[in-house]
Amino acid sequence: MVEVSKETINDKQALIMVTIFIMGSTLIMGVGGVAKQDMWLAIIAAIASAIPVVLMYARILSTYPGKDLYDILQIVFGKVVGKIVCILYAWFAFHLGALVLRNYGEFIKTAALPETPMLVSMLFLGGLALWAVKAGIEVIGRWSEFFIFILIGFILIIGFLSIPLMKPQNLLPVLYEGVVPVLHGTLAALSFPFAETVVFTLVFSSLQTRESPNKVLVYGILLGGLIVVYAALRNVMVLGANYISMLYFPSYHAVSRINVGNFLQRLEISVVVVFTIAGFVKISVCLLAACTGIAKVFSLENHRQIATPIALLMVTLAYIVYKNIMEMMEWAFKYWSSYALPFQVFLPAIILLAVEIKSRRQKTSGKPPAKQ
Amino acid sequence: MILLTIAAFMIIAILELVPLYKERGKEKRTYLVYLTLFLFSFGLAVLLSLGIRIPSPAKAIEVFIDAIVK
Repeated sequence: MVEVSKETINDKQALIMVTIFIMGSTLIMGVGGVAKQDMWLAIIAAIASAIPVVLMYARILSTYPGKDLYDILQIVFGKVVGKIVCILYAWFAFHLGALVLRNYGEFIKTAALPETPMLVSMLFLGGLALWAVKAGIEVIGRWSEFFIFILIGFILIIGFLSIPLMKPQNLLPVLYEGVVPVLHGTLAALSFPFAETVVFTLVFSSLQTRESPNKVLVYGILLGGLIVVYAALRNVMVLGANYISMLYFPSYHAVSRINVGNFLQRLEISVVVVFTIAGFVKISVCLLAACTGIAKVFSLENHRQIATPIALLMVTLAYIVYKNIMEMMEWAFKYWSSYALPFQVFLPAIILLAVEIKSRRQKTSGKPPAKQ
Repeated sequence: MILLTIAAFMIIAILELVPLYKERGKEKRTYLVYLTLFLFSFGLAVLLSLGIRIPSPAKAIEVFIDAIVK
């Protein structure tokens, strides 16, 4: 198969993409809610357990430099089985993109534009993501590189302004209900933002060197995780764990409490901006992964040509997937981790095993056949 | 609503499907995949604009997960 054009992104852009991807919908939805006031502990544990998982992804990617997971699957498992697993991963990326799109639609409907039909906001963000996919991963990378400053700026300013509202006693008592809720929160936080980076193995065929997947994924997880931990700590200290459990979008409420001298008010629009920027990157990456997957499964040369109907289907799926916001939250916290972990941990483990066996065997058979 | 949907899909077809149709000799597979996906999403959009409730795949996944985990 001939590549139409070989796109490359440098490590800095890739790292920023991973960071923004992790911030994506996590900053809005909140994560590890079952752990109540210990959610920051759950998130830190999730980061620690995500590092071996992403090292696994990086190992798979760096064994075959210049190839993405779809190519690797077809090399390792052969055409038929490889393509079946490719379809599963393309579906996972597609479904994840649709869910993020739905989160965005619900958030805009609940928080910002209650009278506008949800389809409108999802259609426009989906259209933007389609444009980004048609422009290619290089453009998404450069775009993220530029917009990370706006994101970090907003987050820092909001962080400083909410210091007077913080009550550190909201974090106490630590581990009041034992370790079990924290472990539940860890599992949820692992599957919700951190191990979702498996989508990047589907698009990162364009990294520069063999070592870059390692560096990019690990530092991306750490940087994104830092911001997620900060957001969780801020929300708990400003609102308190009991109040958070009643809210759909805790960050929005935490930030809306900021009031500096009756002059700086209604800063929650910054949360909308952050979510729009970060969600856009997340949806674009998912859409890119889904398009690449479909193109690789049917051995097409160019994934851009089929991007439009896939984007339309993604918006449709986002529209029909849940009836209302309650169902969305129930699904996200009840079923998502059992649905996503096979794609995020178990299948990559099997793939890594197969990759190792395959590459060892090639190494031994690559030597000149001496005896036998 | 349904007329709007059909008009929107017609614009997309003129912009993307017609050029692919003209080049179908070279890239037959791309054309066929595009056509399938396009017709599928067009069908779903028409059904949605007629107000028909399409079953969500989330329910099927729920049943599947419950069958395995519980």
